[in-house]
Amino acid sequence: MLWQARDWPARARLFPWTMGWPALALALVQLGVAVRVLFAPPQRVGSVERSAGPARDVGPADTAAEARAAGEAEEPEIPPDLARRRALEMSAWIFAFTAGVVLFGFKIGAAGLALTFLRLAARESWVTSVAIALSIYLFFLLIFEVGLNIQLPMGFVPDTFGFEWPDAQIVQLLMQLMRGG
Amino acid sequence: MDTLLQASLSGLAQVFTWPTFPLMMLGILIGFIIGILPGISAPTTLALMLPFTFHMKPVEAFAFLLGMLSVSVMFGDITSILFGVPGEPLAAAVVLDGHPMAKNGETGRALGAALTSSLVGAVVGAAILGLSVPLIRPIVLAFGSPEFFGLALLGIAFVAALSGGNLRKGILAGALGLMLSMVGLDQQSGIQRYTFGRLELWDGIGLVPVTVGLFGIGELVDLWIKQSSISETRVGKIGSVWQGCKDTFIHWGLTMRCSLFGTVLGVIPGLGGAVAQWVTYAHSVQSAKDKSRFGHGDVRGVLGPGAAMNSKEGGNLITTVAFGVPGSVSMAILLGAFLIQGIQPGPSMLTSKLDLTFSFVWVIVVAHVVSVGLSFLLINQMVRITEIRTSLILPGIVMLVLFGGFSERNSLFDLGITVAAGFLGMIMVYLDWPRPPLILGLVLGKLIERNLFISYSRYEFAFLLRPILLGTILVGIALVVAPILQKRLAGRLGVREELLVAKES
Repeated sequence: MLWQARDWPARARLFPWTMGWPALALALVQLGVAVRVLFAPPQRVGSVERSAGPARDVGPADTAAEARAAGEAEEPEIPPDLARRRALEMSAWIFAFTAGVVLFGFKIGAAGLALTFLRLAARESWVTSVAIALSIYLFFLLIFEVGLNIQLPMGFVPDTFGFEWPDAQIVQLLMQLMRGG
Repeated sequence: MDTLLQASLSGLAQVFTWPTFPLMMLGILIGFIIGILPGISAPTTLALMLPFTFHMKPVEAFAFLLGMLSVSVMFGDITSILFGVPGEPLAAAVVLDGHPMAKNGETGRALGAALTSSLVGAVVGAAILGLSVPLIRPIVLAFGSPEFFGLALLGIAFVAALSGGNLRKGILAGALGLMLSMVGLDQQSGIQRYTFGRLELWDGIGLVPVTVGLFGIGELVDLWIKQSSISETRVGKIGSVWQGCKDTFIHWGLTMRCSLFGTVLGVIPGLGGAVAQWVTYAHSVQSAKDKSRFGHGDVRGVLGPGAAMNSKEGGNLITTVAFGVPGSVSMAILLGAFLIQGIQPGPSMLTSKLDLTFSFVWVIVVAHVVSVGLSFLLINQMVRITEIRTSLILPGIVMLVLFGGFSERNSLFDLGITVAAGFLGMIMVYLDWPRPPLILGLVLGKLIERNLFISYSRYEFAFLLRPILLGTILVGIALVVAPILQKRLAGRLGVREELLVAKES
């Protein structure tokens, strides 16, 4: 970011450089500290017990193990390998949901991916999966398109191939009926 | 005094007439929906509801709009606590302690604390609105670009309190936020900065996608890893709701101070609620003797921002009503309502239309009282949501996060920003880096740069000698230095005690 700013006029460059150079210096100090800790002799302070989930953002610095002792609920230990695998799995699903929405729109993409997730990953029954997927579809349809009249994106696939989802016609009919047309 | 009392009573009476009261209730219902859903923001909904007010009388229109606006942040706290996803951008700070409380089986307590502190904050903000409109003019007029620059710098100083004990990491996270705020067209020179040729980045990086992604996606992954329910312990009797209410009064000083901060920060146009929530959260941390539970489910982390975000509306209204200067995007849209109703904000709101002004005060108070009352009836159901199997609610929460990121600018590109911010947030948590300073930097970066250039253009370096600016810089330095000195002093006292004990033995 600092390198890119070098060709800008002084006014555009002033703030990035004022913040950036001290931040770079501090970052190098932090890197030095981190490398030193990495190559320091191992100590048993429980600091390696790190859950893959959110730790905390504020409060005095202490280890994750001490944090658990500070009154959090007892929870069954999840082996680190399993935790890592589940984290990767969920990350992949988040990418899949995002891709689904971009390609097929919020209504169809979200409902479709929800159904797929519930069946494949969560191993829920068909009834439960379809019910939840349908709820998500109806949520976007009724609250946004019908209720607030906000047109959600159709998705890259319909836009590129020039077709409409079949439900678009049903929605238009519903809205006409509601307006008494 | 008699006139004030008469106008106040008249305003109160008008709120309880037909159809004003039902319209306010409808506004509250809409505020509930927009508050709990990350995908819909209060300003957008306010703009959508404006046309419906064409045929309403002034008091009806403002009861409807203010009823919606004033409760949306309070309901946004509910999503923050239950799911760790801010329902409103202004409810992000509540996630830090509210959601851990839900995970610890203290959902009722967190909700009770959020609702009660919101009510207290709203009442304080409304009371200050009612009492101070005639007095506030010289204060607001004293604030120019140098003072805004100073306040934004003061906001940066709160990074120290939000750094979780590691100041270096906190400052670096804040610096990253400041650098992210520079993405887009430079307002001074029109140069494209860090846009990498993408048109979508000309407007910069949105605050909502980053906030929702940074806090929400990590929670999703954490839920899937644990594969139980949001609440990791069985929620027992919901009696802890009353504990949450009591907490508001046990920590009365904190609640009142944050309510006052929220109102004061709301009075200053352009500062934004995003700054106020983090500043009051940082104050909650700094002012606590025992900071160990912050970030783990300390109820004070819910009380402070909860009170401030609801008192802020009263503050916002002061400048909007008295001067026609909107303090926020929502207030700018509310000015549209003034125009639709043919009302000119300014001196007439303090003279011939004083009863209308007081009706605003009472709408805020009554809307919050009604909302809190209704919410307490629904708390059982809300708490039970945290006991539902994760797999059943995960798809819904994923969609809320993604739609939340999309909806700020209706841009699919922002979905990418949301996901990228999410993974950045996960890495930061894994490596023990604090996230709030990044958000603070993102919020304050543009404010600092814009006001710095305006101040320099107008006053050159003389702006640095303005008294309010100097005062805020001194307070900022004190905020950064005080915890370091405190730590050193505590360390020295600890060493001295150890030496004494060693001598005695």
